[in-house]
Amino acid sequence: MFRKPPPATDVEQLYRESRQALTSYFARRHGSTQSTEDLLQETFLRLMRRVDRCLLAASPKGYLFGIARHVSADTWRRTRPMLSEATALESIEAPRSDQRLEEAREIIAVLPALQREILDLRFQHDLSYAEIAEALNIPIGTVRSRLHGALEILREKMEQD
Amino acid sequence: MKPEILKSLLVDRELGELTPEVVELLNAYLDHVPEARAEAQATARTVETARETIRRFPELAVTPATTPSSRSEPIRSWFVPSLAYAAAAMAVAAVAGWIGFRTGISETHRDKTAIVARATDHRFEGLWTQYRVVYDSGHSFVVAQQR
Repeated sequence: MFRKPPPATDVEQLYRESRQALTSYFARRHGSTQSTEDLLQETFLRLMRRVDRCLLAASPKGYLFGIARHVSADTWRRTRPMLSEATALESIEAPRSDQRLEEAREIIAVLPALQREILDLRFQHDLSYAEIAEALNIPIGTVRSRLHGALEILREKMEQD
Repeated sequence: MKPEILKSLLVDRELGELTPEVVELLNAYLDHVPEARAEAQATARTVETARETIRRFPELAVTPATTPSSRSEPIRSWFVPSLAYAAAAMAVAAVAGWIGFRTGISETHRDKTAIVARATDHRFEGLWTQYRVVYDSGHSFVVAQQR
């Protein structure tokens, strides 16, 4: 019933396919505080240590994003004492836009972290359900239900307003 | 079709998660049911709003600080029982030490000569009795000498 992700044949192809997406992923998470090139290299270095598992994974791209997520978290842990979360968010905040998007932003901002992460992986990085499930190491049904739940909340609250 | 199922299918369609055959069937259904078409439009608007919002506001991206780390659970599940075991072991050691200390005091007070005598006896029976520990005053440390 659901679309399956295309299998990646090798790491080189995976690199070509995912390089841009991962760069954008790291830039979005770390802003200018960390070199995205370094983080990208670290991700592929870790991937090479368990390349077999990656290529056997249901979604190699999702598996790669899972590694990227850990690299990002490890980097954050190393540099965290210098920045509070609020400071970090403030430093990468985008310019404000129209009222409708402002409302949506306020609604999404108070969603649980997992739901926001799923929304980000889906709408910013264009990962499928299967790829998100692989990246977050959770069942695909959970990804679907959380995403649907988030959209339902968004719709309800925006219709109320 | 139940409204909940229709809503789910519409979201899946908007996100491109349905196979072409299912999309075709769903489109055929929407052509025949006007209420469902309205629902489809509302779903499309919601998905588009979510997409635009997420792309427009990077601060909504979960930063690593707020990411629920999958590593934290195993560490916690390993760390907490270990701490409990360590605390329990320390408590047992402390109690045993205290009991031993109390017993030692009472025995010392009760029969000091008997203990000294036993120790003296043992010194000449065991494997290590060929060694003798003495205090070397010239170098100020304890050395072992062969008898």
